[in-house]
Amino acid sequence: MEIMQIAAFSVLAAFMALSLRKTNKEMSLVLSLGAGLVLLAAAVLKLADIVSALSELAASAHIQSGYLEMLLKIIGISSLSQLAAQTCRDAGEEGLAQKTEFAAKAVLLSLLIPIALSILQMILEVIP
Amino acid sequence: MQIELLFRIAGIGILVTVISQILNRTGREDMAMLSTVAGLVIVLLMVINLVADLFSSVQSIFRLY
Repeated sequence: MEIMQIAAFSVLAAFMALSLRKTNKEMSLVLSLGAGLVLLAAAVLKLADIVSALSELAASAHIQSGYLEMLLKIIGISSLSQLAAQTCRDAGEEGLAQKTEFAAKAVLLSLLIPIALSILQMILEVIP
Repeated sequence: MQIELLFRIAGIGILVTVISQILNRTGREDMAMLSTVAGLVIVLLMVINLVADLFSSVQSIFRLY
């Protein structure tokens, strides 16, 4: 079962990072970063099937594909920014983590502005 | 699951620590620092491949181009 592989891998990585932390802190951080990346890659591969099933569902429900793409982009941007911010926190850089999250929020807002504008236009057309 | 990668990174970490401590004890502290930095660069190069893989798969799945 894959969950056992994932659990064993992460526990092993945690122990190795802990044993490296006293002698070589940077190496411990790189180890935990590498292990986190492997785990995320496994998760993303699982998500690929889910995403294709969702897009088929959206197509059969006659939702425009642009909306599903927007949703997926939001999920992707937030996951990547969380990965980067958590790595900064693991390295002890809380300030960098906050600024990374803030930059990701700015990117998300710039993505959402066209949709918000079109919704506002529709509302303004309805109001006489 | 690339378990070998994990063991490789941990092995390089332990090796670099041992080498740097030996160099510290025999008095060559600059070489010790250099070996630590070299070990870090090697390990980072290994991790960068993983980063590239993850980013390309995230890009293709979440359609972030």
